[in-house]
Amino acid sequence: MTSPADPATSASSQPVTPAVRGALTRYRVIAYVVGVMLLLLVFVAMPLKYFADSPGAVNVIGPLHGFLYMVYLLATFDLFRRVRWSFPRLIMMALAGTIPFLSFYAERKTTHELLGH
Amino acid sequence: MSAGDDTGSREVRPDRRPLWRTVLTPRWFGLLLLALAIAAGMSAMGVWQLDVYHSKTAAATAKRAEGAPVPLQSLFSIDEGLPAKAVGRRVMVEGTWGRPADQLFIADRRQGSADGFWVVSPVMLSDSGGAVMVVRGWVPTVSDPAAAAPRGSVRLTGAVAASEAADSSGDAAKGRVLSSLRIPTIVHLVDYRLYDAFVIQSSVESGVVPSPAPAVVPPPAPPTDHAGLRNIAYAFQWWVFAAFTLWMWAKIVLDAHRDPNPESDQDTQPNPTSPDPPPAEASAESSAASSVADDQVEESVDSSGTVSA
Repeated sequence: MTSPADPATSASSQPVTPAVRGALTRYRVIAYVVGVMLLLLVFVAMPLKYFADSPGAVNVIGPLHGFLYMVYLLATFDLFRRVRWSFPRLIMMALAGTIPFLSFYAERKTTHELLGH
Repeated sequence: MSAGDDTGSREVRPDRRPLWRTVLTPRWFGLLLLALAIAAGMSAMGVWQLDVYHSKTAAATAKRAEGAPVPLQSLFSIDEGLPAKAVGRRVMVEGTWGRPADQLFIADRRQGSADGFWVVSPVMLSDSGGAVMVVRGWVPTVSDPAAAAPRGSVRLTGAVAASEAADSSGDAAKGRVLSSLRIPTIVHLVDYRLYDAFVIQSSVESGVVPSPAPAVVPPPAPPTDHAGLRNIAYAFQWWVFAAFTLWMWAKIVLDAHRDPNPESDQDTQPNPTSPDPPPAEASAESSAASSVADDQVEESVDSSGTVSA
């Protein structure tokens, strides 16, 4: 790729057009929401269910996380199409939404790659 | 983001090939098989979650009918309507049999293969001043000796049943033989308060057991107790994920098909502000892209949105 030195796109040869920027913002928002939901599910709702025999929180947060994860996948795929990531990268980012804390890391890494900060 | 708003520059490309040829290249066909396998696995997960819902519901429904009998008064009061969660529960009723003249028959009831009547008698409850109508059992005829109304104090167990839905507004005029089991009808036939439920008697624990006794009526099936609605949601989510997987494949292939040669109008410009970069570069790809099969994912997944948005 003939990418001239551009400090704004340090790790990537992709241009950050307004469309990419918008997709990135959507991705970051939903990644954060899904990450928090997953933490609530794994570290609050599931202990309540399995240790305190109180499944109410899982019954609400479980399906909610599932539907938000769909939005996360849509946002990730949208961003993937715009910045022309490799296919394995898409898979990894999709899986990152299912592992506690990993979505925060993936979001930081993606933002850093695209915006350089 | 839609790929439908491509600019016309791609239409003039000379090496345009039919979509099916793109699909049948090893790369995209292999990806299709992978997507189908993943979608099939996700669909199976959805079916599994639906099974979990069904078994949870069956267990909850059966549990309601299997619990130890509790006093009827502990489920709801005579002043309330019958709560849905009480239907099908096994209860104890303690009191004295009401006046023999208040005994009723419900017509057209089958027991096995025979047509007959249900015998319904009030039990005056010890504590509340009201009564509950007890389906004592089945008799072949109204004049059967087993239908003779019992007297004295009684403690019995049975299952809570709701009023039947059938409209029988004319029933009250028919005397002691009614066509459907409905508290709204019976409440006009007695001069005391009634529980808004029937108890289908299963056994008499203490008190006079009439001999002969009416045949025991099997308790009605308890209403379905929906449990595991969360699993219904999970099932649908798995199916949506399965569809999403195939949709992603289609989207990726269409992107690749529309723009196998990223040099034509690619958005690899380093200019972060221009939404419509002019075709200028990517000469490295242009030589490789002359071959049909080597459209790399990185090249072919065209971010058309960056061009058009």
